[in-house]
Order: sequence, then structure tokens, then C-alpha cells
Amino acid sequence: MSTQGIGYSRMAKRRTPAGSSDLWLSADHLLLVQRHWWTESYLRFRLSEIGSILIVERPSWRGLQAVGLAATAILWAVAIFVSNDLARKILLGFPLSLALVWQAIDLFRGAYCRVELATAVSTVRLAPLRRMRAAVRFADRITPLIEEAQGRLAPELPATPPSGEDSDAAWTLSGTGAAMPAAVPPPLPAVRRGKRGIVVQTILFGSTLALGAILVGMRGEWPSQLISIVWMGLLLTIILGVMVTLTGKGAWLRTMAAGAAAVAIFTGIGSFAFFVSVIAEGARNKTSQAQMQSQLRQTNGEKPGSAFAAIGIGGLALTLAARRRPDPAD
Amino acid sequence: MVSALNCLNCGHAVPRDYWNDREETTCRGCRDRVVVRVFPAFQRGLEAVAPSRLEADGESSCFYHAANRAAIACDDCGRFLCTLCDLDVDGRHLCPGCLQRGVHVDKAASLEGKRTQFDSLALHLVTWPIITFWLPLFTAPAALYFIIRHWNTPMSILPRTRARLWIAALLALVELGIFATAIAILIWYVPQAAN
Repeated sequence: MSTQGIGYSRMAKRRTPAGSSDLWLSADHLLLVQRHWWTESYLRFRLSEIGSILIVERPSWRGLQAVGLAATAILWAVAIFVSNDLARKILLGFPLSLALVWQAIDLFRGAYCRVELATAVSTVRLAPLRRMRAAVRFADRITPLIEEAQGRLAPELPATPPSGEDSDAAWTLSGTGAAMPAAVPPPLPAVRRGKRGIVVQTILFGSTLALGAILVGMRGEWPSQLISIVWMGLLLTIILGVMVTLTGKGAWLRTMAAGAAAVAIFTGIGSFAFFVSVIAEGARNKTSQAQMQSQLRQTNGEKPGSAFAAIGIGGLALTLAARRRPDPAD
Repeated sequence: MVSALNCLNCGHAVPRDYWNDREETTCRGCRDRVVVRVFPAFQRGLEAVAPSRLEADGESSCFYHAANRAAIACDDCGRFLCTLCDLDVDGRHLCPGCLQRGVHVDKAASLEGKRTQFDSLALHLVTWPIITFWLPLFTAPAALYFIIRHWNTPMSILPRTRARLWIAALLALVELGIFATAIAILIWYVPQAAN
């Protein structure tokens, strides 16, 4: 496994603010390079020693991508089409347009995933491979090279699994190497998606829809204290969603939490930009403080309220779809 | 070595009929997409390197393990080695002692686990301290030292240009030039202006 004088070809790369990590392929080994500030560390995996490559999609990120894009699109539309002030349109529209393009590209690049490579002595996560599409392409590219170095695993599966409650654990394989170790630990029980998660999800998305509708309905006639209470309720709903997701299990809950986080982030950014624009406009037009407060009270419920209502409707639709979908564990 | 593959999201065992399946498969636990490639090394595990014991008196034993049968001789020192002590480095079979010497004396490239990139270090030294305004007075000379000292040092086992070194050198010289100008102004111009 020499490194000097052998050409490397880069298979994947990932950049972070503190460094980067690359995956390089040589004639006889795979090189994982991790850079941190001004140091570079290397991990080498001989093609003849790679035991397995496992790629698993990350559904929570898929939800974050989709809901984040939807939330940004709503905020962008509100910023561009609702406001009549050109300065406010530019101030809100430009950063939201950038966010929208970035999220669209992110969504177009596909789902996120986790990749683990196992050898006889270690299991390493391949950080440069973050996208499902790129990871599968990597696996397709490297599999023939590994098989050239090791031979091919030739499964000889019996026609029917041997007797036993769990057929997965009872399958046997015989390949070019030694026999499968006899003591194969039984697989973990399947994670069942509970009905409670669906109910909680319905309540949370319903609350988001109701609060969004209330915010839309507040057009200045309501006292600001009540608006504050509604905002607090919305915030608590999001926090509760995140907490339920962290303690619960299941792809739909993770999706919902990711959506809630995206909503929180983009609402925060949007609200901040909105208030800044109103204050800037007030300063420019020499509006009195009372007028400015009145303007804020009249407008702050309508636009984000529409966004929340839309997200609530979308979330409820997803929840209903999840309820109708048969659980594979049942 | 793992003897079973589990989903990274939910921990559910990935069924063996999913292994090396070219069709799209989903985990039975969380329904997330799973792609599994398994190779013969997975089945071999550590059994391939397990040494065999001496069975007859006339057999050669490992230099490091007297009870193990010798399988090969070290390419460097010629000592007999069992499969446990046989270390394959760049196609050469070395014993642990020769490997240790290779790491610390010969600096075998294929054994290197880490390198310091002095070009990146120099670049950091001339960029980040700028925000303090005064720190480049000290970091710019330090960066110049690293640039000159390690101009010919290979920074990485991968292809790497000297662009960072050039940029760092340029920035360091500019910073030092600015400081020199500021000091010159303080020494000559300020007293004259005061008079």
C-alpha cells in the first residue's frame, strides 16, 4: 500500500468552516483525508480488507429540505408581493431569494445519507459522502475494484429459510472466504411507529394552523398583548414538537421536527428583517413612535400568520397521508 | 469485525437478502433507503490472520511468539514471523521492530497518519490576526519564517501546489511594509509636525 508515486483520484469532498475531508482512490487502497486548520490526517483502507459499505438515507434531513424550501418560498412571496414599499421588498426579498436558490439547489442535489465502511478492525464513517446519490455512485464505482481485489461474495441462499421465528438471522451464506461465524447475534426488534406520534402530530400541526389563522385575523384591532400570547403559543408549539421528536421515534416525527426547526429559523430571520425594514422606513419618513407601533401591530400578524397556516395545512395533509399508509411493522 | 449489519438510523438488522442487492431496498424498521455492499473480507473477519500453533519439533517458530508457527521471513531483518507479526507494507513483509524503525527513521510515506501543512499555517498567521491590527507585527515574521523554512517540505501526500506559500509570503510582506511605513511616519513625520 504505497502512497508516493501512485496517482490518486478524488471520489468525494466535503468542506466545512474548520476544515475539510476528502476521499481519494488509489490503485490498492482508499484514502480518507481529514483536514483541520493546518493539519492533515490520513486513514487508509486496503481494497482487499474492506468488509462492507453501508449507506442509509437520512429522512429527517429530507423533511428539513422540503419544509425549509416551502417556508422560504412562502416568506419570499409575502415579502415580494404583499409589501408595496420598494425598499422593504429589496431588504427582505434579496436575502430570501438567495436562501430560496440555495435551498432549491440543496433539494435538487438529493437526500442526505450516512455511509459507514467496515474492515476487520474498525468501522469508520465516511464524512465526505453526504448525499444518497453520490454515495450510491461511489459504491457502484468501488465495488468492482474491491471485488477484483477480494473476489466476489457468492451467496448460496436456501430456497426457504431454516426454521425459526426470525428468518433473517437464520440465513446462511458461503462465499470465497471462510464460513460465516456461527454466533450471529439476533437482529434488534423492528421500530414500530406508534399511533401516539400521529395523534401528537395532528394536534401540533392543527395548533400551528389555528395560531396562523388567528395571526391572520389580527389586523390591528386586537391588543398587542394578545398578539404576544399567540406568538408565545406558536413558539411553545414548535418547542413541544422538537421535544416530542427528540423523545419519540419514527421518520414522520423527525420530519415534523425538522420542519418546525426550519419554520423557527426562517420566521426568526423574516421577522427580524421585517422589523428592521419597518424601523428603517419609520426613520426615513420621520414617523412617530406611536405610528410605527401601530403599523407593526397592524401588519405583523398577517404575513407570518399566512405562512404558519400554510405549514399547518401541509403538515396536516402529511399526517393524514401517514395515517392512511399501512405501517410495515404491523 | 461486525457479524451483522444494522441500519444506522434505527438499529434494525439489515436482512441478508438485501446484501449486494442492486435494486432499491428499504430498512424494515424505519423504511429508510438502504444500500449494502458486502465483500468476502466481511466473512473472513480476523480469522485470516490467526496464527497456527507449532505441531512438530522441527518446525520453525515465530521470533516474537515461540508457540506460533513461522509463516514468512521479514524482508528487512530476516527474522521468522507468524501471520500475526507479518506486516505488509508497500508489498514488503516486515516485522514489528522493522516497522517501528520505518516509522521513526525512514518515515515511510504509507505509514504516515498525519502531516502539518505549514503553507496553511503561514496563511492563517497572515490573515486572521489582521482583525486585531497590531498582532501581524509578530505573526507576519513568524509566517515568513515558516515559509522560508518549509519551502521545500512536502506538505501533503496528495498533489498540492505552492500557491498558499506565495500568497502568504505576499501578504506577510505587505503587512510588514505597512508596519514599516507606520513606524517611519511615527519617527520622522510626527516630530516634524509637532515642531
